[in-house]
Amino acid sequence: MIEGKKIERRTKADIFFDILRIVQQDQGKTKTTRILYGANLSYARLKKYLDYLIQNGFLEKVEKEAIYFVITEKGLQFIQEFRKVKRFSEAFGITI
Amino acid sequence: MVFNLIPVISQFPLTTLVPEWFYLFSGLIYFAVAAISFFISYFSFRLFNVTSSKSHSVLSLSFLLIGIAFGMLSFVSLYTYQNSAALNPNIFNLNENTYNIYYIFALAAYILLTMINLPKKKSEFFVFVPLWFISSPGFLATAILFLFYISARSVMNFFKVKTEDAFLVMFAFLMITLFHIFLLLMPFGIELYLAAHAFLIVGFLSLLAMLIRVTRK
Repeated sequence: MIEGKKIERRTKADIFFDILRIVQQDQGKTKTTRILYGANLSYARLKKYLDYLIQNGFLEKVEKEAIYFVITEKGLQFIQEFRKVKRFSEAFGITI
Repeated sequence: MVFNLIPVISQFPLTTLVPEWFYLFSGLIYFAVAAISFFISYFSFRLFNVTSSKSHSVLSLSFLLIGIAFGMLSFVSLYTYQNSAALNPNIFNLNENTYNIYYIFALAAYILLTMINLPKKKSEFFVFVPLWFISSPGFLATAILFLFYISARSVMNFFKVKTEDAFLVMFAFLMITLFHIFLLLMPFGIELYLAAHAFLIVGFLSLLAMLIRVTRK
């Protein structure tokens, strides 16, 4: 408990959403370090999630001078759908 | 204006008479309620495909059951209205059977909605629903118990998240609870039947408003 508020654990879906949103906010293309700090994850966990997102077509890995992650159309659709999921679930008091 | 009075079939003792246009009125309301329930069920199922969350699949199933239950009531009410001039035992039987199925489907839906709202730490619970619910007052009393719990949880959820969407859901469940309470009180006045259905449609329109707000881009 911090300042009387309960800390809620993020679900996997929440973490995917956070990662994709960081990439989207960075003009759809960003480096690992930005995601690492933005999503507040350890490097090992971030790597696991990035691998999953790449394998499932939500992100693409581009290697030009440095390594970049680019959001795909499927990733953008996930962000939109997930926003609806959050609003709808919150309205019914459902935790995802 | 004079209306023919016909009994409220399968809901209360046959001494309760309502104008025949009530069947048209309630039939149309049940149709709208069924349509809105199917929309919510479909949307929840779509979300289940995104999240694979059990709660979304249960929510989808519960609104599917509500949709089927009210869809059947809509059909039987409109059929009764069409054939009210020649009210015969077959119509009574059709109504009675349909209402019995409605009781089972609606109660199953309310139990599922209660399950979604149970505190997460308690993973096991047991629901005992005696068979006496297969009668109108029995069903209404049982449904009200479940709906009281669902409404209380939705009120708590609204005060927790304080969003307009949560308010619309809370308002909807309170209206649906009032619908059942007023139906239970119907023997005290026919106008309560009318008010009950007004609460029902307002409640489901509130759910529709929430759905439109959430789905629009």
